[in-house]
Amino acid sequence: MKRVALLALVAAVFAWWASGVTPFTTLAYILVAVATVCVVVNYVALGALSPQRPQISRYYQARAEDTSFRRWAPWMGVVLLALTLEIVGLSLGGRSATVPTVSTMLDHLLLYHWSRAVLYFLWLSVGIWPVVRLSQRTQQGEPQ
Amino acid sequence: MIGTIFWFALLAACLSIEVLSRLRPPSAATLVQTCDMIATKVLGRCALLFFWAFVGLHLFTRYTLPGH
Repeated sequence: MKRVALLALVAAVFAWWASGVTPFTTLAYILVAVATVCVVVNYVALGALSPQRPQISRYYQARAEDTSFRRWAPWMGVVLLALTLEIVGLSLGGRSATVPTVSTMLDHLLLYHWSRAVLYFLWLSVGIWPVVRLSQRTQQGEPQ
Repeated sequence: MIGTIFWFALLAACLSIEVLSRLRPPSAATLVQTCDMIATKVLGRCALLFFWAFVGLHLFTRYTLPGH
């Protein structure tokens, strides 16, 4: 628990700092790369990307519970609709006011440093959380 | 404008599915369960990681502030 709180604090500080960096600069790319590499290296170290670890697949299968198509079809529908909208937006030039792309919509949320920091922290959390979850399971003895 | 309405409708649909899946668990999977289902295969885990990295790169290094 203490480790998770410390990790959250580090992520929050990193998010605040990184979200203040000017876009399209080398530092902005490096910071995203550092976060990505940290997550990927830890995920790989846990064996999550190894085909020789069927326990990891079983762990996710147990978490997903029922994996029948009927249960996740609504999400599939939403993703297909979002993709269609994104393609229409891109075909209109990407900055159309009639059909904006998801990036154009999100740009409005990136206007302020605090809102960028919140989104950055959310993004980091989405990447870090599965690693923390898997690492806790591994420490508890499953999956090995 | 019409596209913006569609995006908000999609967001509302996501929230509805999530709420419904939590209130009536067998009816639909939650977003986390859907991701867990994708992660049952190594390729799915790779795809999720790639998508996550792409979102970070696209959102935080290549954004343009409206009006700038």
